[in-house]
Amino acid sequence: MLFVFLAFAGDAEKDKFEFVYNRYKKLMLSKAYAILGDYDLAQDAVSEAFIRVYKNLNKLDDLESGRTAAFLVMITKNAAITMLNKQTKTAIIDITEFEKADSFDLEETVVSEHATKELLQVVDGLKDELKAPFLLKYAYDLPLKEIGRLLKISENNVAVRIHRAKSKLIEALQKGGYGDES
Amino acid sequence: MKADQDNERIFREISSLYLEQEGEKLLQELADSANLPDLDLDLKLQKHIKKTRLWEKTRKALLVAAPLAACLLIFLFLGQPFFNQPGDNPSQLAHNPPLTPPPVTSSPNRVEIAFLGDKLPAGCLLTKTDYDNGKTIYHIKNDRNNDIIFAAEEDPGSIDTSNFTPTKVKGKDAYILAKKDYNILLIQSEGILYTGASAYEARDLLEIAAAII
Repeated sequence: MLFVFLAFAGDAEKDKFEFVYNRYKKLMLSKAYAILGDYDLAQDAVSEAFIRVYKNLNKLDDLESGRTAAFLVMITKNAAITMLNKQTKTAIIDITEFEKADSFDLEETVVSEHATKELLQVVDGLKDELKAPFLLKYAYDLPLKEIGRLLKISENNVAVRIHRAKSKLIEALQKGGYGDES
Repeated sequence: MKADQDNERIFREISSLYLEQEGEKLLQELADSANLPDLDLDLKLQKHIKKTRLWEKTRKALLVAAPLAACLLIFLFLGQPFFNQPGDNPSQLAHNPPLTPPPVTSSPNRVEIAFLGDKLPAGCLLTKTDYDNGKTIYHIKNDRNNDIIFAAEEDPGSIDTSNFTPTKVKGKDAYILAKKDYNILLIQSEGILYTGASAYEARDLLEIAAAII
């Protein structure tokens, strides 16, 4: 009854959405609340996230997997941050930030377990605005256009954010003495 | 080049590994969050869905006929004499009447408001004009970077204003629907129904409405 206004391709898709909604809504709510500090706003962010998920149901395969949980939390956090940014009117990312070279070869450095751990920490420490596009591209293999649609940012902005995330990873490795820029 | 390819592969591996770990953590949290109150989330989502549908419908209604609009624009602007200032082409001086607004085709339901651009308040710029199925659609940008769409059509008389808040613009009845993600304004004036939509700032719609009616 709840989703009577949504147009689904079929019953299977509707069941899928309902399952996702009932299973993850509280987790998503807690994540949105952690960002917004207000239950009312958090609920708005979660409903916005579900609208975006509804349009991308096909991206979800194993509905009970950690991968699905991570995807939903990522979208929720993004919706919450967008709401927060709308209130504070944060600066738009400058497109001219493409100065960082991609010539650093990670493969030569990411051989040790220690370096992998370091990289995972850097990914974890990335701001959600950078982390989400980075993960959506590399872990979910989504094209920039779709990432933009999901996160409600332009394709250019997606590219800039991914580039920033990559630069931070490379920078962290260099700082940690895992390799020099070639 | 090879370094780039290697890096891409590493980024893929690291992000998948990260996601695996993060996913595990979240699944544990999922169990913990079972007792969290979700208050009236169902209701919120239902409202959100309705809002989204309404917004999509409005957008579709306003934007559906871009090709038609393009044809109209071509007709309006390229159909004008090439020399549009008297004196630019001496041979035409004797034949051309003084510069007049471009002619607008007269289709039965067409609302003819050719120069909305001149009426807009300061800080607003008319970026595009479309025509669709009896509606003239104006795309406006203002100095607050708000994208605004205004559609003008023949006033059908009664309009559905449920969920809208009544207000007044220059003493005329107007109806506004102000939401977090979008705003819609309806106003009837001199046989024309104006429908305005904007992503932010309902006041931008009110300002424009006040300027054009």
